Amino acid sequence: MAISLTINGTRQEIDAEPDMPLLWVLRDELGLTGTKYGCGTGDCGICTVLVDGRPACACQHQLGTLAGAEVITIEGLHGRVARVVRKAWRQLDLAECGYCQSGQIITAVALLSTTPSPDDDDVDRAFAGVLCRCMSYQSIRRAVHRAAALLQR
Amino acid sequence: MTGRITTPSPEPEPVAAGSLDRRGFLKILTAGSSALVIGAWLPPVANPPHRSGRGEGFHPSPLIEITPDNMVTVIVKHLEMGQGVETGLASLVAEELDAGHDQVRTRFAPVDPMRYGNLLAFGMQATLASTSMANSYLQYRHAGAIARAMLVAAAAARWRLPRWRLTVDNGVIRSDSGDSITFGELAPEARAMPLPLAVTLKRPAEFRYIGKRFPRLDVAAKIAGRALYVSDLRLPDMLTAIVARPRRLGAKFVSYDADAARSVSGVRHVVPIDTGIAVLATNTWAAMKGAKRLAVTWDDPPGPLRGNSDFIRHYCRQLDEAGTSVFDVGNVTAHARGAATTIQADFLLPFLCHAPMEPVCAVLHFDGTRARLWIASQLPELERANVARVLGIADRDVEVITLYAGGSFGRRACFDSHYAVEAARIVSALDLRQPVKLMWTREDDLTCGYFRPLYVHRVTVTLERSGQIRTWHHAIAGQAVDRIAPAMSQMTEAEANQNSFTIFGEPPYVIPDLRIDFHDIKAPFPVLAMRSGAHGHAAFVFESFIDDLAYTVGEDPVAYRRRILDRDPRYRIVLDVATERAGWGVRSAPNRYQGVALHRTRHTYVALVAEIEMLAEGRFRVTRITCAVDCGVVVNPEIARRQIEGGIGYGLDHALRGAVTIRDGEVVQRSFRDTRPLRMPEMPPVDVVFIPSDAPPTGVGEAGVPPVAPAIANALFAATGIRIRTLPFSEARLIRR
Repeated sequence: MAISLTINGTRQEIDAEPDMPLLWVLRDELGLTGTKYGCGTGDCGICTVLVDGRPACACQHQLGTLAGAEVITIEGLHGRVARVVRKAWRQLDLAECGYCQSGQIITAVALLSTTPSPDDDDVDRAFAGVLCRCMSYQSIRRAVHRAAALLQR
Repeated sequence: MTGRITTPSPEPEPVAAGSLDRRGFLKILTAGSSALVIGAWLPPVANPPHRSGRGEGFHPSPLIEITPDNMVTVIVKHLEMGQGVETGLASLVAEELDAGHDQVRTRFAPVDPMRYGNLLAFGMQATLASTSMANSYLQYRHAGAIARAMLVAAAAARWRLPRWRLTVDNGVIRSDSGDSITFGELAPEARAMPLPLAVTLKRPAEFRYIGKRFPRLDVAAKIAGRALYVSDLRLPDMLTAIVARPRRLGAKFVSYDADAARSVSGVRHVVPIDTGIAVLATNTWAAMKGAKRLAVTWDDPPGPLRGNSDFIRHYCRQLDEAGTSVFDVGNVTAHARGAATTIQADFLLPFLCHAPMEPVCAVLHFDGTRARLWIASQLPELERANVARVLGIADRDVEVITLYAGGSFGRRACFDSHYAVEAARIVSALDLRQPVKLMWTREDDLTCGYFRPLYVHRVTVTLERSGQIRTWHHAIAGQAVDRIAPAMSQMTEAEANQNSFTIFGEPPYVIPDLRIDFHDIKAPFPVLAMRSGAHGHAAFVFESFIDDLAYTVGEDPVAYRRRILDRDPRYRIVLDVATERAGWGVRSAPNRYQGVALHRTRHTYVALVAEIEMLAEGRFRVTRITCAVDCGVVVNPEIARRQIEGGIGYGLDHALRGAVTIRDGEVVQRSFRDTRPLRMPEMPPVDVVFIPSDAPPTGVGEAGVPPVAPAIANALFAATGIRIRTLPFSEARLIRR
């Protein structure tokens, strides 16, 4: 039976196994491959998307539990905070292998939407769940502060 | 949806007669691998310009295409795995061509070692050992300069003006009488110009991109989720394959329940291959579920080495015997006799897992005669050959399409091309004509081998009365990692071993008698080199031991290092700069301690000071890292700094906790919850300073890694008096004496 949910502002009827994690719904059923597979166990956080406005690992939400949910992925991320975050990332040339960046960007947008002027501890707490094996952590911290400064303008 | 699938450039024309063949440039390499020689062997010089066969593109060399839309496409011959080589190579062309940043784009090269070989890697097409910039710095600059000369010649011919009356800036050629024309407009005419006999490269003072800012070309795509990785690829009728693999390393299946897997909706095929049972499905989740339902029974491979403790015991026994000498200067045995002081210690370095963020993955499509392989590989030439062998076709019938790699750290430099080969075995076994995506899961990645090997080092050092080192005997036991060279050149395994350990013979210090012995251990599962290779363990052992020697003779670790340093001034400069910046010897808080390490990784000099804070109950945290780097010319300061920072984070990750523990033939750590990789809160502030230099660029991808663990070990010794010779530190007991 098809499950109905809103993805990036568009209502979708998804006809897939109800135990299929949102990650594979996005990637395999909808072709939204900006959300990446890193572990499938909720440990790496790189598949973070917004589910009803909150950051969540797409691999930990089964399709069957998402009827009526609103999901925003990297492809559908928009608004002032998202623009500013991406601007800060560009200014700092921030992307190495880039594979975790969707999760980092969404985490930054979620943080700055609720905490517009985070301190280092706020940033560390918000990003503790998102791995970066290139270890760009220091740059991500700087970019989040840069984005916060841009938001103040 | 698939973003941009880079189509490879059309079949290049055959190489002109008289140009160098593979053996030819191998000969040059042996004759001397100096930058000059590399500069002298250049695709643009060896090969005449060729037509792309499509549109009005101007191809002054296999590295550049300039099209009438005024875009300059740089053909990137090294794998982009996060290290920024795509941007780096493009900036070299843009520099000499005087192109604008926004008119530059890139395309990954097809497999063609004649054109895209790496002279610092036996001429094979390869991205490894921090050689990309060292190999390609002059090649790409030359290519840019040649293209510029031909464009200027075309403009001069068009306007009937002498060349000296023309200038080039930001992709536009102007004359002093007010004419102007873009590269794109000139491309068709430039194609007809003869190759210049000689070109002059810019002097450093003329650089506008090198050493300055040239923004990364991949940021926009990567922050929009548009960059394409192999795991993102979706092709019509594609099936995804997940392989059920044994928990026990090296085990083979006895039986499995194919029907249970086939009962999963979406599963299409179940097929045994040599490494496990492959389940192919129309989507990833179905393949994963199917693989779980197989209920495979595995055998229990015999063998004496079933766990870390077996390895360690076996290695220590080996070290009691004589090993194979891989480096020997002076006469250690004779000169060790009668020394004032003899010190011996054993060091233990664990198995490590690379764990790139994107697990390895390959997509293969075979139509019965020709195959296309989408992969992100450090050794695409070898992938092609190995896949061709399994499919029973010629190398040239396999087209390799390179995409971005989601990290690698050495994981995608596999001597056996194992994941591409798995895809080929599946295709062969099923006689499949649909594209298949072979994915490793994270659990596969963490538990199925291809680790950095475990090593035990035994070092015996004698000192002069003056405190100078007299003899150094260094014995290493472990699995050899360099199977690539024997696979791709005429090197024997013994020569490859020798080659990979020569770095132990080049310490920063004066050591008159130095001997390195290697005990090559055969174990029943494959291993790989890891980012920084043997430097990763060499630096830990050397720099911990040097610190011990400083305490033995009662000197400050930095002062002692300065006293016994070799003549190479670059060591002294990085050591001076790093220690001064870190405020060496000045304690920033009562519980804080410093440690230093000095190491040269593939010709890049790094001195690093780690500051730690001792917490209650013998725990500690790293509070600051200060690091001075001499890598010659810094091509892109932002990327270089990020690479050193990242290398330090990677070194820290493995120093603190990263270890693969094998028990009863199985890997204990099965998820990131078990391996606990470094996360943001543990990343200390890192201060990196580059020494200004006009020397040829060396690598920055690896040099940050090796000095981290010894600097922390040395700080811990300063704090506790406990010398830690076992990594990771989580295994050590840190109770203050």
